[in-house]
Amino acid sequence: MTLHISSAYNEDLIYINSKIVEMGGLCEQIINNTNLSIRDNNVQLAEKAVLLDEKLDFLENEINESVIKAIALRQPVADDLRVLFSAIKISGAFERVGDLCKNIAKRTQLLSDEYQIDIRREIFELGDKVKKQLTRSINSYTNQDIKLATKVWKNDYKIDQMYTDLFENLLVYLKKKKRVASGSHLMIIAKNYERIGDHTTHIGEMTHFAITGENLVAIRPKVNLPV
Amino acid sequence: MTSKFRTKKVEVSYGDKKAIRDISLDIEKNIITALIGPSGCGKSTFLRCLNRMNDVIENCSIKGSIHLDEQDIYGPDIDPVELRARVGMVFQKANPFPKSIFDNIAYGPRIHGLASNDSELKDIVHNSLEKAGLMDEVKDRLNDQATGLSGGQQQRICIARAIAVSPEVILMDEPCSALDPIATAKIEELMNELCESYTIIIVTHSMQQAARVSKKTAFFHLGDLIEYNDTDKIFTQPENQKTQDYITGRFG
Repeated sequence: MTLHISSAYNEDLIYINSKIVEMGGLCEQIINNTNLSIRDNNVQLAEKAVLLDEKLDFLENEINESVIKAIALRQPVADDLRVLFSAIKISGAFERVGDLCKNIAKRTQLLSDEYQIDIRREIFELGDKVKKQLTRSINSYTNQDIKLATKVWKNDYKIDQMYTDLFENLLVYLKKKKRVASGSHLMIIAKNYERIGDHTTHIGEMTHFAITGENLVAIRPKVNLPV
Repeated sequence: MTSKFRTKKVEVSYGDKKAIRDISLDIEKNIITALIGPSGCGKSTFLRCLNRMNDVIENCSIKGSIHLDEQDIYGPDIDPVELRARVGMVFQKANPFPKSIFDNIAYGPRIHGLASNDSELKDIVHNSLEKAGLMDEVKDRLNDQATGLSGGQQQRICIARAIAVSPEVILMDEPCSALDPIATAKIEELMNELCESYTIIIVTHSMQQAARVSKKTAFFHLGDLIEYNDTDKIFTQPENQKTQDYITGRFG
């Protein structure tokens, strides 16, 4: 892409982009810790995820301030405007991903005494699927890959399907084991993963919009969620 | 959409040098159209074709056709002076006559015989000043020299002077480039009000001004019309890479 005549403007945009990429990397780290903490009942990794989330909040604020400054000083238009608008939306999505992971991690800590939860594996698989989807959405942004961004957007139904199946299994678990407290936490954990999936979809949508100026509005596969 | 101007394959040359080529563009009635592009791109040349201001430039030749409504403005039956009453112009630098405010506005109606008596002339002057949003500021000093007004007021005098001969179109060639932001905002607000009654075409170097005031934008580059579209489309999702590079400040 041709550079702007104003080198300061170029630097602003590069800086904002680097912060988005940094947030993406952190999100991958957090969700990885969260997933493993569930699978292996690892409290230390859950604690780490909670701590890392603070960094995300800080980075989101930094991006917001930089975007506001760029809008005020540069009056961006066309692709610049779309990139800056998307930066706000994507950093917001990353921040929400961090919050949801933190929530999962905290619940994992509460479940740490429940060694015998046989459903851990299924929840980990949902988390792993969401993590892969998150990585694809980050890659679509960093590589400015419209095809991959569209794929992320289209594939959200797979996560929804997994969540729906897991929800059914959790209901059975709750009824069978009569573990209301742990069952409720697991339900919310599953729902949080499903929500993270929605945020990764949004990152794909915003990446697509930043590159093309078009919103992804075509019909995509959907799953009717239980809740 | 109703077209006020229809231009087809317009080409303007100054001697051997082509200033614009193959410009086909329909200008919509009662909206503001902005012409943007770097210096020397041909936007002012094109603007000046629309009321035959290029006629007075030596060595200037024009090909193609320009229709105002259904009339060929380069046709043999067209009187350029009458055309310029229908298609008024406001320039970069405010250029009031060294006369009173009243006489500045009354000048056009007088030479075109638009008022049959003093009372009618007074009505035209007051009306024009009203429409130009100047009446309240100058009502007690209509006999003062127009050149004594502020830059912004002088530019609005020029707009009132253009309005006084009841034009259908007002051409503006960088009308705010010498004005401060407040005077600029007043002119822009005035343009917004005037476009209900007139078709306005503005040449501007300010991207923000084009974005703020116009409904359609045409981007010129090196004598070619690169892109012509709704202003919101041009500034959010331009189709041509050159347009994008220009409006985002990427032309080196």
